[in-house]
Amino acid sequence: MEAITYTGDTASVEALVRDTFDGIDALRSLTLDVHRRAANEGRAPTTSDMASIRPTVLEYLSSRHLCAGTGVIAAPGALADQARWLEWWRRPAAAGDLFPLAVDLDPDNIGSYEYPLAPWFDVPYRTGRRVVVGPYVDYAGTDEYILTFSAPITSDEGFFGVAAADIRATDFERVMLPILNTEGPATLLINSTGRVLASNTPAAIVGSIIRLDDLPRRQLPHGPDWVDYVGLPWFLVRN
Amino acid sequence: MARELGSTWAPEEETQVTDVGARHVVFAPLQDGGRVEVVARRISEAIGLGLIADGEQLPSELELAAALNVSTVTLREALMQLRQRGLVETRRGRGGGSFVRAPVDASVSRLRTTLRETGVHELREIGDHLLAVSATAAQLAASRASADQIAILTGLADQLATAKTAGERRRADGRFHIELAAAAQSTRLTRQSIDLQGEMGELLWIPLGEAVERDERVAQHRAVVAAIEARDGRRARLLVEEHVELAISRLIEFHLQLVH
Repeated sequence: MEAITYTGDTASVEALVRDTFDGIDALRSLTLDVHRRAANEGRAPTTSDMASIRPTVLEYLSSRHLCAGTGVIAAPGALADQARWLEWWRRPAAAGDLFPLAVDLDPDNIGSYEYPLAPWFDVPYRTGRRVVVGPYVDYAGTDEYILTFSAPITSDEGFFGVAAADIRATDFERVMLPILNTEGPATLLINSTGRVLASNTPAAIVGSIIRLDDLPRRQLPHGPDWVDYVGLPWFLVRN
Repeated sequence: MARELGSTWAPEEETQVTDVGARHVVFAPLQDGGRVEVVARRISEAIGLGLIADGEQLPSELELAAALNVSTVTLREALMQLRQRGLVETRRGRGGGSFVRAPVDASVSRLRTTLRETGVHELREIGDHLLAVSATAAQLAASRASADQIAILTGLADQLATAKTAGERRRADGRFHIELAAAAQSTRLTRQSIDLQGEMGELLWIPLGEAVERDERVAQHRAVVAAIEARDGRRARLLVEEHVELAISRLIEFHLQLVH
């Protein structure tokens, strides 16, 4: 395997992941506060308790232009007054105001949003770990091709749900292109399943899967916390 | 039994008359060699589609066997299966015979109306659209599906295999086709797949009048997953094409029976 050298600032990948999870952590601790206050009154939180997180969700989304949407999603039964619930706001792909995600939460409907089965919900629930998922088609939800960064919200009472943020695959690819050196040899940024996140060649475009067996690849430099994330590390591959 | 005590009971009073044309189709000779399962399926489909109504008396075993062109032994076994499924009950004595037991709920009745009113051309249009979307999704999924997504597709095939109600079967089947498009990494195909399943799913899985045979459908889904796993896009496309064409042609057959 030849040694790979890359131009560009691969530290920007680490910075992006860290910054995204900083915002998620703010939502997480806010939700835990709501939860704790309700627990002190000897009850489960309600949707009106949770309404207090909205300003923070909007602030997070307004200040991070790469972020397509963010919010908190409750586990079924976690809230006293509604079986399934989410506070999720989105940024339109074109210019425009932030808007809430409207989804069908009735599990009997074919187009319903079965979020408890989604990896960004299920993995934190099962493992207690953070997860980076995608890119994937978020059908019945945002209907977009996105990456989702998600963290479990767990208190003494157990698993409450997740705090998460989305980045559109197309936006993610755009900000990653500089590190791939578009004039250099074919180079790909791939996730841990071999899915291409960004590439400088039409031969392996975003969303395709490549076999890793005999390709020289290099794990991106990153901080010590990546080992806590399911779905990381990401790799750079010379095709 | 109350029935034996009462002398005024006559089967005609409980019988809802279905039109003769539909019955003509239901009781037409079977081409496929007259296996017990085929006979039972023909009759249960007719019950599901409402071509034979709840409470209606079936023709005598001799008449029915002759009409379907099967032996009375085969017919009796088929009726036995239907009895075990609670779709037919046999009463003895005067006024006795085999009677259909199929209470109809409002949603089933609505679906039958929808299928009757959706013309052949429209069903063909939906089928063409489904063919374009699902077959392409399958081909792309073969090169783009992750191991996780293949596992989800396998899980949905299993779910279809074990689903207890028509509603569960419809959901597992619909989800399979939607996940196929999601595994293809295409938001556009996925959106269209959701719309198409919303439009088609209920019609394909009308309780008892199911245009797709569950076990056959499960086998087809598994074959598609195997092709995707083998990264054989052409085969995945071909299998889904056959799968869609079969379902649409059966749906058109049912529609024609209903308008007959």
